[in-house]
Amino acid sequence: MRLLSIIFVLLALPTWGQIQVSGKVLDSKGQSIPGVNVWIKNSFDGASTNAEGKFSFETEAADSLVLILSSVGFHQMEVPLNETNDLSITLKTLVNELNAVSITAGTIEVNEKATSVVMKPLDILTTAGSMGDITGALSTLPGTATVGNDGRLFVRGGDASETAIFFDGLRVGNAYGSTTGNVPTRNRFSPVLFKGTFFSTGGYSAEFGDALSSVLALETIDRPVRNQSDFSFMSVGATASSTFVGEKQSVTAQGGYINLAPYQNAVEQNFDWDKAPESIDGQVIYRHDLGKDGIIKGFVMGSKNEMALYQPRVGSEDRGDRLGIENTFGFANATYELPLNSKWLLEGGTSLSLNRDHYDLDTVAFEIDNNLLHVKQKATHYLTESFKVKMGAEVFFLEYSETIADLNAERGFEEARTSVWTEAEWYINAHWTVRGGLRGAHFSESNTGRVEPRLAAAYQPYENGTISFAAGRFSQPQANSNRVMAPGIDPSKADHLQVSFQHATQKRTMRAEAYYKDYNDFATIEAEGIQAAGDGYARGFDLFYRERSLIKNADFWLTYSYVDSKRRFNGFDTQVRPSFAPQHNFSAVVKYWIADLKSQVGATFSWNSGLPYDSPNKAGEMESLSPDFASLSLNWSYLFRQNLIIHASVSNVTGRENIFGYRYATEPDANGFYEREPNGQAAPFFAFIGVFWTISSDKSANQLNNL
Amino acid sequence: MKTLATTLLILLATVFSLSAQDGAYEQAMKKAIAEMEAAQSPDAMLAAANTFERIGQKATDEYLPSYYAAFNLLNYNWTLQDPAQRDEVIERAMEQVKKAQAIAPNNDEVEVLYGYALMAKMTVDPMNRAQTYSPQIMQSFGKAMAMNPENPRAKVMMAQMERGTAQFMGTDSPKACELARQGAELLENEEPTDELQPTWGMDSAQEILKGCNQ
Repeated sequence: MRLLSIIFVLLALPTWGQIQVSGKVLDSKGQSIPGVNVWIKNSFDGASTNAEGKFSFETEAADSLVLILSSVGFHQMEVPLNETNDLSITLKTLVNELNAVSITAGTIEVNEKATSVVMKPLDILTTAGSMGDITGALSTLPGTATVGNDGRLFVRGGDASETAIFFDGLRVGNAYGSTTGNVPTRNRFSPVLFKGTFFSTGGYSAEFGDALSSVLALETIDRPVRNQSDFSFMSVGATASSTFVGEKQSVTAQGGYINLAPYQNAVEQNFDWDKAPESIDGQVIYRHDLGKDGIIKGFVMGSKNEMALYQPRVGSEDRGDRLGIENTFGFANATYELPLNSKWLLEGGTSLSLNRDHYDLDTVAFEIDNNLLHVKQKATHYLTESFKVKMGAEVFFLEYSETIADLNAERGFEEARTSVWTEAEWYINAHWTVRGGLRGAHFSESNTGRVEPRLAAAYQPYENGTISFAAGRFSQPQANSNRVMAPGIDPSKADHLQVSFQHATQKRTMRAEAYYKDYNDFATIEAEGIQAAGDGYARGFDLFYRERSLIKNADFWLTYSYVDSKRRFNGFDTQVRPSFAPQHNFSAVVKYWIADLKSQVGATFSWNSGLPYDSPNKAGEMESLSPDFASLSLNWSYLFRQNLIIHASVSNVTGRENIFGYRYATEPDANGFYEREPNGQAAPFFAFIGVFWTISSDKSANQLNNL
Repeated sequence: MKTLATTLLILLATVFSLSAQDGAYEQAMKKAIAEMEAAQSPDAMLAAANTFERIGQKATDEYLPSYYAAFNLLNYNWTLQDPAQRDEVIERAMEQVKKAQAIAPNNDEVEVLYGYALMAKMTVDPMNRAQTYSPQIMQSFGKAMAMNPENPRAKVMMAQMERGTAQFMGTDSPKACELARQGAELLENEEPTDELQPTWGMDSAQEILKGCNQ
């Protein structure tokens, strides 16, 4: 009987001690939070908060009940239940890398993850006029200038060498193809290699150095998703690439051959070509998983290219000087990324760049060798969700030489540069982020040391708006061609300050940024030789507007950059406007998808107010300005079949004769006047057509992202 | 006698509590599934997801609570406009999918859901994400179909992808229609092993079949 009563009590127990739990959940501002998951630890009992942030449910009474509250965007919270009714609980907003305010000053991130950005990876490929060149597409962004006869990246009054290019965090020596005689160059790397690009136009992180103006960091794809082979047959050559994907590893091999001779025969050329640009290149990428979330990558690339042209002498009727160049380039890179646990991430690697330029100037042949080894190690420590510290060390070994074989003459130098750096980033709350860093560098050849502070902060005044600033000190070794003549010359340095405002939604991005850059220690030619005695400044502002929803299927952006820059450098006695810094720069890019025609069409218009040049017929230095530059480019991609795309593009459609400056006669004529010839474009326009064919088990695969 | 009574009592109590616990899980799941089926508003969908998450944190050996939590979060995601918020919700769904994968590796239903989560992720920004995500999504549905050729949801979801691709290309999609038809047929004849097994998919199948020449 007693037994039965005990069983009875046991059975009855679950309904015996039911209690009511109710309350309200608020955020730190006292606003109610709907949709919060509220439950009793280790039970099925709980509820979600309603639109007023209120919850109510029943549970079994027990001695020590713990209430758990969980919601996206807030710290999960555990509360011991002392009282059970009319609770009022405040959740703390969770601020981490994903939802913190990001520092936009001087920063352009190109990746797939962010929902509102200035540029996406696909844009690099589909921007008309870029011809699949990373630099070409980036030159439509704020803070850049189009220098049509150069093709490299020019940022905020800086010359092209002031932008350092990194491949998976490691420096690339000679990232552009070698060129001569006003023939524009391209970035050596195909944009399809990269999942993301980080482009800084100033005030960049302490992780990077040796660049006065800017950093372009390219990150390769980690894990390709399928086996695939791509072939392209173009009016200028052909490429083939194959990817094999295994369980934990993948390998991609690619090769290409480009020859501009057929195009040059078809389109009349302004330049007197002796040998049309011809190049061959091959590359292999290997990736292997390292543990659960880590990865090892290896990349090897080799290329060779050649071109030659005659440059007429001013006032002479013959073909002029023959300029020939033969370039051999090799690049190898091995990197690893290994998260040790949720708190520590290790990254590092080694890169080696080998570059040889063989020049033929009429009868004189000379060679320039430039080799760079970069070893880097980096660790990131996440102290909390909202505070992280990065630190790293790196060493560069540089070897540079110039050789004239016929004269048995050779000169050169070697250098080791060592840097250590640390940086902390703190997401103070949902509205404030600060980042501070310090970089120390030692240059063995000049035996100088530099300590460079970097500081940046961002504030969010309203949901889609960001106000941010970035400042810092930066240095860069002098140009190799100067260093070889001035052993031990100090590196040059720059101080940056910039303030930026950005309004960004997925459909619209607006951005305005003002900056000031103070340069010191440029190399100048003095009576006693080359000295680090120059200085200068660059100041201005950039405006950017991108709209993706105004017109259906259309996407466009407008960019205006104003640069006021002067510097005393090279042989100039006074501060002058450099030839690579046009004052007003404008570009407009439009992309439009026409479903009925299965086509994407695009147009890019670039304009600048002209490049300064020096006329020996006028008083002063760099006192003249070339005519303004304008170019309209169009492209068209047609999805013939799911895996076959036809792509055509034309640069400078109108055939406008742009002039980038002038070459002057070395001697004045009888009237004391120097004759001149314009430095124009290689051809009135450039046209390209190609067929891109993809073979994959997945039928939807195509090379839409390769164009 | 006393010892026997105590032993009996302990035995009974153990059996009772075990079955009670089991029953509690099933009961909670059934209630949650009913809540899910009744959920029409975004708030109700999120609440259903929360309910499954609550069950999941207690019943750590069961994959279905996480499965349904993710499924409801994905349903909720379609009701949102703000892309950043959608990404956040999908990311939370993805965490639940991963949890389900860890409890039940090589489960075809979980694999379908994984592909579905990727699909949601892609549609947040198709212009830029389609190229990376669509092969992964196809791969995931293909994998689920290989694991279990009779899984109707794998077929229906694959049909959705095929139709999307065809629409982008401006062509008909006989393959999508065929897959949807097969999926619908399997769904009609589907006899779940127990009441907790997923049964969704018919609405999507019929939606696709509407655009097909029957």
